[in-house]
Amino acid sequence: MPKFNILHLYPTTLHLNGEAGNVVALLERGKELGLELEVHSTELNENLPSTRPDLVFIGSGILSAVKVAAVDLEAKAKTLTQWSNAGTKVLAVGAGFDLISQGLEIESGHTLFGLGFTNTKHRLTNDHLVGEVVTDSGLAGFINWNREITRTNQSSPMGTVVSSDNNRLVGYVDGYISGNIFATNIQGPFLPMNPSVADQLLGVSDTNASNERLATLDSLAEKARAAISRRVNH
Amino acid sequence: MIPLAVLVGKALRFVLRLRGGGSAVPGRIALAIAPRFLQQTLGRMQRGIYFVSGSNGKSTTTAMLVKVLRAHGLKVLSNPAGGNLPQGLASALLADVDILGRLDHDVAVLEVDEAYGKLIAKKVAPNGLLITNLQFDQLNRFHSPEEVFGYLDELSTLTKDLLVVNGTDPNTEKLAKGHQGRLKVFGVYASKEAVASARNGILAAPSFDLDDSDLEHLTNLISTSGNRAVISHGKDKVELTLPAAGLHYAIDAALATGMASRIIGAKFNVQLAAEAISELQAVYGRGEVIQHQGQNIEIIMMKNLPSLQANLDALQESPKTVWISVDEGTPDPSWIYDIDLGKLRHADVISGTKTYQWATRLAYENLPFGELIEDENSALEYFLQLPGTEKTAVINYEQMMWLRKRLGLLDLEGGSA
Repeated sequence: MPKFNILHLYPTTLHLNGEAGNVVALLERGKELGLELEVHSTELNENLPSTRPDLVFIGSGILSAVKVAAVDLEAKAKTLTQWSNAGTKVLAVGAGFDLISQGLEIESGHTLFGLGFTNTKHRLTNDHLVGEVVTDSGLAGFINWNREITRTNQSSPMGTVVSSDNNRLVGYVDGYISGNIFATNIQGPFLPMNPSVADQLLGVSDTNASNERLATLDSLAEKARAAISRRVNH
Repeated sequence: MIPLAVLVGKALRFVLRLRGGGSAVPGRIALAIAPRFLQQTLGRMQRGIYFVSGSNGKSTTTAMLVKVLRAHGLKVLSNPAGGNLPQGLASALLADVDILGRLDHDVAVLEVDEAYGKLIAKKVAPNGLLITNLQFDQLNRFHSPEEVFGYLDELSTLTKDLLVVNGTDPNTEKLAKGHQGRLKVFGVYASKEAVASARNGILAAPSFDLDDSDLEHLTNLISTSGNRAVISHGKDKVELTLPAAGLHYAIDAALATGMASRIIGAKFNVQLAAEAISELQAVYGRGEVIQHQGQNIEIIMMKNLPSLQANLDALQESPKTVWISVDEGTPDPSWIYDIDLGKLRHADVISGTKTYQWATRLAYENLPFGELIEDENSALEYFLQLPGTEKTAVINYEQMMWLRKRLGLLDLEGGSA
C-alpha cells in the first residue's frame, strides 16, 4: 500500500472554523483510495518530524494565534522550504495562507513572517468580506476574510468568485494554486465540500468511480454545493 | 416629553400586539419623542441596573439571577431575550412604566448583546456587569473572539462599580484584570474536578499572554454531575438542581449566585439562592424538553460550537431518535467539523437549508443517517411519526423558535413582555 504522510501544523493554535475537516477529508478519502495514511502534528515550540511528509496542512486562527505561529514558523522555515522544494504539497486555509505568503502586514511597518511559498503579499484590513460563494472553477463554500492581497506577478488563484450572496464578493480572487502549493479562504470546510481538490492533493483519484463510499461522499458534497449555488443565484 | 412618549408608545404597542407579535417600533417611537427615555425610566432604579453579557449562557444566567434576587424579596425588572437593542428594551419597558415613566421595581437585570450592549450602556450606565464567557460564536458576524473581547472590554469601561466574570475562562479573567482598581472585580471559578466532568471542558476561545494569578474568588463551583451542582460561597457550601444537565449550566448557577451576593449585600442567603435556582425551569430551547402528543422532544440547541458541544457533552446516553435541522440562521456551519459528536451516533432525519452540509459531515465520520428532507415542515412530520416517545432535535436557534411555534407553544422569547 502506498504511504502518504500528512503533517498538520499547529492544530491547536490554528483552528478557527472547522479547518480540521480538511484533514478528515484527506484521511477518509485516502483510505478509500488505497493509501496508508498517517497524520502527525507539530505545535508551537515542538520539533518538526524527521522525515519529509507528503503534505503539510496549515489552518486558520485568530490574529493573536497567527502572531505566535509566525514567530515559531520562522524557526522552522528552512526545513519547510527544503521539503516544499523537494515536492511536499502544502494546503493553507485562511490565516494559514498568510503564513505561507510573503508576509502579513498587520499595521504600518509591522509585517508578520511568511514562508514565501506564494507570490502574494497580505495586509490586514478592517473590511470583512463575508458570504457564501461559488467560484469560476466550480468550488463552493463560505468566505469570511479581511485581507488585502497583492499579487506580485502572474499568479494562479484557486478561483474567482462568480456568485455570492454578498455582492462585494463577486469578482473576488481567492487563494493560490501553483505546483505543489495550494491556498484558499474558502471554508465549509474546503476539502469535504470540494473533494476534487482533496484527490488532487492525494495524487490519486477514483477513476472508475467504483468506490461506493466515495460516490456517496461526492454526491452529498455536490448537493451541498448545489444548495449554496441556488442560494447565491437566487 | 416622557408622558407623551409613554402614551404614544403604549398605544402603538397595544395596536401592534393586536395585529400579532412584539415589535421594536413602539420603543423606537418612544425614544424619538423622548431621547432620554431609558435614563429617565431605568435610571431611577433604587438598587441599580445590572447587565449580563458574554458569548453563551446569558439567558440562563439572567433567568437564574432574577430568580435569586426575587427570592430575596427584590422587585426585579428584566428584559426578554432579544430585547437587546435600545429600541427593543424601550418597547419592553413600555409594558411596565406608568404615565410618568416610573417603574415599580427595585433593580433591573438586563441581558445584553456583546456588541450592542454598549448602545444601552451609553444611555444608562450599568452599576455592575456579569460576563459569562468568551467563546467562538457567530464568526460570520463577529469574525473573531478577539473582536468580542474588545466589545466586552468597552462594556466594562462603561460600567460604574462592579465586574464579575467567569474566572475559569482565561479570556474573561484576563479582561477583568484590566479593570481592577477602577471597578470592584471578582471571579467565579470552577474546580478542576468540575471542569473535568465535561468531556470537552469549558470550551474557552484560545488565549495567549496570560498570567497565572486568580481574581478574588467570589463563588466557586466545587463539583457537578448530571443536573446537580455543589457551589461554595465564602464559608458556605450548597447543593442545587440545575434546569438541565451540563457543566455550562453549573457555571451559570455559580455566576448568578456570585452576582446576586454582590447586589444583595449583607442579607444575601446562599441557601435561599440555591433553592431559587433549583426551582428554575429550562429557558427556551436550552436543555428544554417539549411535550407533544405523548412524545418528549429534547432540544439540543446548535447556536454555536461551544453551546452545541456543551449540550452534546451533557448527554448521558446516545439519543435514540434524532432530527437535525439547520437553516440560514446559521449562515456558515463550517464549525460542525470541530464538534466532537460524542454520544450523537446517528441521525434519523436531517432538514433545513444546510441539510447536505450536515449529511456530508456525518458521512465523513462514518455515522449513519436516514432521510434527507430539506423542507423542515415535511421533516418534522416525518420525525413525529417515527416510532418511540423519546426524541431528540438538534436544531439551530431559528429552527427552535419555529418549532416551538409550530407545536403551538406560545410565550415566545422576545414577544411576551
